[in-house]
This record gives sequence, C-alpha cells and structure tokens, in this order.
Amino acid sequence: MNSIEKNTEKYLDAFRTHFNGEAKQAFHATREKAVDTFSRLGFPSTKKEEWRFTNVAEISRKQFSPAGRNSSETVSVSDVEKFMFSDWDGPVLVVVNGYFKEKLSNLDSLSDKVKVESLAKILDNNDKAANKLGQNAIWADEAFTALNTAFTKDGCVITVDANSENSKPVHLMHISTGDAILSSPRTVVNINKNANITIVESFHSLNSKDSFTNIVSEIFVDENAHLKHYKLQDVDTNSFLVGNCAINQNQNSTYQSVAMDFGGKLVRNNISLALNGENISSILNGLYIAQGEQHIDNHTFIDHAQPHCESHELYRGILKDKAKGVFSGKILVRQDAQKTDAKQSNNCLLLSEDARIDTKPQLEIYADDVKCTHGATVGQLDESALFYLRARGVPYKKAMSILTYAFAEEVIDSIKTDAFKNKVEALLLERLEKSLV
Amino acid sequence: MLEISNLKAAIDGKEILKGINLKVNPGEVHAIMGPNGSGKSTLANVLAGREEYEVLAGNIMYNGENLLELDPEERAHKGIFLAFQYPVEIPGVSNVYFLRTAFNEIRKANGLEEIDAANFLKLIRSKMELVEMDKTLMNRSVNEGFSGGEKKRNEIFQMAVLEPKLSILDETDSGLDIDALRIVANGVNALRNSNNATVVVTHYQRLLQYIVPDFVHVLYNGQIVKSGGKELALELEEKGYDWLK
Ligand SMILES: Nc1ncnc2c1ncn2[C@@H]1O[C@H](COP(=O)(O)OP(=O)(O)O)[C@@H](O)[C@H]1O
Ligand SMILES: [Mg+2]
Repeated sequence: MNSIEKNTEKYLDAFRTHFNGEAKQAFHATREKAVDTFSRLGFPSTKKEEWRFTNVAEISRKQFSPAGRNSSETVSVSDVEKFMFSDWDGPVLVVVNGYFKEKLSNLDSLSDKVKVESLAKILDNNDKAANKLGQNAIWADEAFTALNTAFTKDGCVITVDANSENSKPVHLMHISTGDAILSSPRTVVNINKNANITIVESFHSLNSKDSFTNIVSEIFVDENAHLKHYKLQDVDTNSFLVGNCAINQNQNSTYQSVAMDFGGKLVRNNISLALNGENISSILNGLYIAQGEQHIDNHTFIDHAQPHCESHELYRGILKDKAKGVFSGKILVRQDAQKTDAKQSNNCLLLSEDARIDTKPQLEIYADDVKCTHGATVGQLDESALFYLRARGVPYKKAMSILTYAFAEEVIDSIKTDAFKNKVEALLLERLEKSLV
Repeated sequence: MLEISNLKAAIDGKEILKGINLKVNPGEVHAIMGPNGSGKSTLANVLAGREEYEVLAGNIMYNGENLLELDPEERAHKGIFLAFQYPVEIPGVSNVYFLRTAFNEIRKANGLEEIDAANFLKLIRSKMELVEMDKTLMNRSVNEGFSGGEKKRNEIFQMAVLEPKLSILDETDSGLDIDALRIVANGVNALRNSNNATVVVTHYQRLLQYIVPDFVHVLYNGQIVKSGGKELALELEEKGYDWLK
C-alpha cells in the first residue's frame, strides 16, 4: 500500500504546477476536491473486486506528466488526415492530448442543430453547463474519474437540439502525442428530446510513447432521443488507456454503443448506464482484439431503475499470444424495474495457449417479473469448420482468417454507419492478414 | 488414379481401418457399402486428409503422388472432393462467398486466374439448376439452419461447381426423400465423364439404382471383405451383411 500512496504524490505535485488561468474558474474548486479524493483513494489495487483481474501497478509506478496545451501544438492537419475515415462527409472534431483543436477540426458540415464547444471555453465563462460536470460521472469512489476531474482542462461538449433529426454523424477524434504524457479529456454529450444522431469516437497515437489517456465521458440521452455511439480504439501498443463513460437515459430513449478495442497495452473501459425512465432500450456491443502482451478490460454496468426497459449486451473477444481479456458485466434490476428484459453475452476466441480471458457476469435482481439472461463462452476455432474449409481448397491460414472474421462479424454488423463500418472491417482484415492468425 | 494399399488408420488410439486395398481408375464409379461403424466415413476422411485420423500403415497413391503427404487443401487443389456425411455449419460465412473462395483458391493453385463475384454468379447459375438449389440458400451462412436435404444438395452443388477429379460421396443419400435423391443422383450422373471418378459410400442399395456403380465393395470391420459388380449391391440388400462375417 505504501508504494501506491507514494505514487499519488507525483500527481499532487503536478497538480500545484499544472494550472495557470484555469485556477480562476469556478470549476477549480471541484478539481481541488477531486485531487484530494484521488490521493485518498490512490490507484486501485487488485484486492478491490472491480480490479481483481486488472493490475494497474504499471500505471501507478510510471511518471506521466499531465499534458499542457502546448503539447498539442505539434499536430498538423496532414497528421489528422491519416486517421480520417474515407468517404466520411460529416463533421470531424479533433482533440489532441485532451485539448479540443478547432483549427484541426472540420466543422463545415455541422448542422446548426448540433452545437460543438470546447469545454475550456465553457469553464472559462463559468457557463451553467459547467455545473453539470461530474453529475453523471461520480468520482467519489472511482480513482481514475477523480484523477480526470482533477486534471481535465478541456474536451468536447456536443449538444444536439431537441427534435433535430438526420444530422450527419459526428466523428470525434482523440489523438495522443508525445512521451509519457497524461491526457485527461472530458467529453460531454447532450442529446435533447426527440433528437437523434450518431457519434463516432476514435483514439489514435501519433509519435507517442508510453502515454496514458484517462478519459471521462458524460452522456445524457433525453426523452425519446436516440444516440448511436461507436468507438474505435486503435492506439499504439505501448499506450495506457482508461475510459469511464457514464450514460443517463430518460424514457423512450435508445442508446447503442459499439466499441472496438484493437490497440493499447493496458486498457480499461468502464461503461455505466443509468436507465431512468420507462421503455428505454440500450445496446452495448463490443469487439476486442489483443495480441502480444496487450490487456483489455471491459466493465459494463447497467442500472435498470424503471419498468419496461431492455438492455442487450454482446461482447466478443479475440485473444492471441499472451494477451489478456477481461469482461465484467453487471446488471442491476431494481425493485421497480418490472418487465425488464436484459440479455448479456460474452464470447471469447483464444487463438493461443497462453491467451487468457476472465469473465464475470453479475446479475443483481430485485424485481420478480423480469427476463434476464447471460452467457459466456470461451473457445478455439471450430475444428470441423476449419477442416470443411480446407477440404474445399481454402488454405489453413485463410480458413483461420475467415472463421475469425466471421466470429467478429456479428458485432461489426451492428454498426449502421457505412464509412465507419468499412474502416473497422479494413482494420480487422489487415490484422488478420498481418498477425492475428 | 487412386491406389490404396494396406491402409490402416486409427482414431483416438483405436484402430478402425485394418488394411484396406482399393484401386480406382478414371471414369469408374465405385460403391463402398457396409454396416454402420464399419469404417466407411473413416476411409472417406482419411482420403480428404482429416488430421484427427492417424494413419498407422500403408499408403495412398493419387495420380502418381503420395496423397498422405498432402494437406487437405492441397488434395482439394488436385481434384479430391469429399461430400461430407455431416456437412458443417459455418455461421457468419455466406455460402456464395465460401464457394467462390474455394473455387478461386483451387484455380490459383492450378495457375489459373481468379474469377470476380459477378462472373462467378453467372458461372454457378446452371449448376444451381442442375441440383435445383434454392437461390436464397446462396446468401445464407454455410449450411446454417439448412434442412438435412438442403445440406446434402449443397454438397453436390459444390461438387458441380468445383468439378473435382475424384469425388467421395459419404452417405449423400441419407436423409433425402426420393425426389431429392433423384435430383442429387442426376447431378452426379451429369458430372460423370471418362476423366473423373466417384466413390459412393452408402449403406443402402437405394442410391445405387440411380448412380449405377461399376464396382461394389463391402467394408466390414475395417476391411474390404468382398468386391463385385453392381449385382453385389442387390445381393446385400437381400441377405444383409451377416453372411459375409
Ligand atoms: N471421433 C471419434 N472418436 C472415437 N471413435 C470414433 C470417432 N469417429 C468414429 N469413431 C468410431 O470409428 C468406427 C468407424 O466409424 P465410421 O468410420 O464413422 O463408420 P461408418 O461411416 O462406416 O458408419 C466406429 O466404431 C465409430 O464409433
Ligand atoms: Mg459414416
């Protein structure tokens, strides 16, 4: 425990020097509380149930320096270009080391019903939007969220006006650059009543080494609003990434997350969904691919508080070499949440003997008239399917590749934005060809 | 074309084939009959190269090559085709993609150019008619949710498209009603010529009324205990297998 206490010291020191003008913001009082909380909590040890399978000692021991705005200046328009999706005709918002870069972004096709602001500006102006921060992403007990709250200076705030439909999908691109940098972006998304939109987040590294992105996202989906939230995480395999995403849904809304985790050395995603009204539908899908010594951990938590809601989760993992995967899916069905329909499944494909997956479904059900199912499978490729393909002339490697692709397909198929789907498919094919099978 | 000598093979350490000898020439149709468990599928799978089966002794020459040294895909490239007794379901892989990949891999291995999706569709149209293959099955996942009959028909359809030199049909008749049986048999017969050969594995005589064999062999307890002409099948139908013990 001593070593962990000492490791928070670095952040306390950094906290004193990290802020200039920002210290005048009303939000700064929250930061100060958060850094206290962080130093009290320290980095979670594997003794904590929620961190049993993911050891963050490497993160806690490393000396990361919190990214200053300057660190984001090295990235040029042409750098950004290589992370664009081809045939993407919607707006692109670029965030570098946690700072929203309007100059690198393309806001031309942004509908006037969709507002994009930099969090820094909102905090500077002490806008009332700032008060909402942290309302959703509770940091009292979550060290990484507290750490983000302490160090965040910027990020994107996306607001979709009520009743607006058919807005073009928005691409929110996160780039991490530099060595041993800690980025602390905060994303806030508000989808107002009857609105609908697709937001694609992507995470990339650019000339970066041993960097740590600690992101927090707060998402509100209001009555009868619909958000499709896709993610592609393709950072370098020397990067650390912790994401805490908190979603609040009101009645008759739908939220669909499809999260692709392909990169990172140590990745932990927490998705936490609060279903605060009736007739809500939530879908959490994910595909994670890890090789070498990558470690990818997905934790989901769905809080069914009201009747007649459904949540469906489908996570698939493909692990090779000494990669480790973790899937923990907690579903809480409160007493009032009658007629809940909750379905969860996690299937993992192990392509080597040393790859490993830890799966932990947790159903906590306090209502009696509900339908909740969960299932987990771990396995290798189907030998008889492999033989069938080979007996028809398909070479071994290609047959492996086809079957692995097919395994991932069901998750990829849930992506409804073609330009993004094509990108994901191309990346998967490239992986399959180069190294995965 | 094919010459099997003294083939012994085991699965899970249990010897199933106990010395098989068989010679197949181009243009011939051989029927292998025998009761359940006699080793028919084992023989078919060993020919196709399934690795779970361990070859203990003997050898198999195929067009002058040692077949046992080839991977399953290499055997397919050289014209060997096994119609599976239990065709495998492959969720997430469409039937037409599967077949085009197989078709092109075989072409590539033989130094021929690959064929694109549009031309492939043209090419398979007549073959679909041949076995009265339902079009909607093409875009479904390979064999997934197919009825027993549809699976068997799909095997023969694949055979029609891939045009193998040596086809091994493992119980293709089981699970087929009489109409489907006739369709499948017509397909097989239409594909017969003087350069290819067919080994029909069955334990009923029924199929052999439609696909008339040149030779009939009885496989019993891992050995071929009797060989003869097509009339042997009728004799087996009448007397069963007991008299051969
Ligand atoms: N995977 C296996 N493991 C163990 N025994 C097997 C396996 N497959 C087949 N056998 C056994 O091998 C023998 C021959 O089977 P098979 O070749 O399928 O016979 P047939 O096709 O003539 O009915 C049977 O006794 C069967 O139980
Ligand atoms: Mg059999």
